[in-house]
Amino acid sequence: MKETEKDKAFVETAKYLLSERAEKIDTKTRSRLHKGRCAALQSLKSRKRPTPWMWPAAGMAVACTVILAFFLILKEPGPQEVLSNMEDIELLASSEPIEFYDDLEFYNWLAKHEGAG
Amino acid sequence: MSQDNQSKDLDVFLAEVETRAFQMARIATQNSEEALDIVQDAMFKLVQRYASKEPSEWGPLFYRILQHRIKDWHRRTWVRNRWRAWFPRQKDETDSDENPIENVPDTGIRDFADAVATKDAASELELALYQLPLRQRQAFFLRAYEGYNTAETALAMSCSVGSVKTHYSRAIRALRIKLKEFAP
Repeated sequence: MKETEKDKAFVETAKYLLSERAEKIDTKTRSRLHKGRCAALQSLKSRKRPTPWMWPAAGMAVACTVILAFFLILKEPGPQEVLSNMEDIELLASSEPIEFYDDLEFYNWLAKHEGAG
Repeated sequence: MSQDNQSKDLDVFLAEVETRAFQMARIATQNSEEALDIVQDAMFKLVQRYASKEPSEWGPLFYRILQHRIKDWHRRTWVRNRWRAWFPRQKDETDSDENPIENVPDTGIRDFADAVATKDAASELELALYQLPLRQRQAFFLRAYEGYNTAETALAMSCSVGSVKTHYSRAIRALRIKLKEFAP
């Protein structure tokens, strides 16, 4: 007998032995399996499904979210935002040392006070 | 599919697989009570999560859940045993001299050790299956006992078709060596 045939014969024997053992499972265990199955199926019946009136409400909520997201993404930048972006570009393009910009507020204050004095 | 039809189909499907699933879980855990819990848990999960799937998909999905539950059980048992090894339980006032095993209700299922002691072919096979590595045991059960093809087994085991083939052939080789006297 070839190895594959031996394997097949072995599998058939094993299947037969396991099936025979399954048939010997006692009634008490079978009854508990049956109860478990019924409980599982009961959970399907008691599972809440969305009622028809929920669909328009859900659709409306999704539509509102999409519209809000659309406006937030495509919102045009305000004048303050544009100004801030321009300042950033100037700062990056400038040849002044970065410490100068750290003290910019102080120089502004100094210029105002010297002008006044 | 209406809910009534779905429920009937699921009932037929679960009735068909429950004893084999119980056998798989019992051999893996060597404990009938744990096996019943595992099978019931798997049935609940299938019904709650996959009832709407095609009935042809229920089999691999059910066994996939079952195998995960068995793996979880092994993991929990391993952690519990480690914990007990580090912190052995102190004997307190609630402890009595009674053997707790004597208080366990008799489920009518033959104890694994008793079954092995009888030295019949089925018991030897169950013992050999228990001694197999987890993945090989899964592959053997699903391919040989449940009759799944490699693709269905791969879905149930969450692995590739190639891995299924490897695990299955190794399982058969190991079982044939262990069961020389019964093997053809």
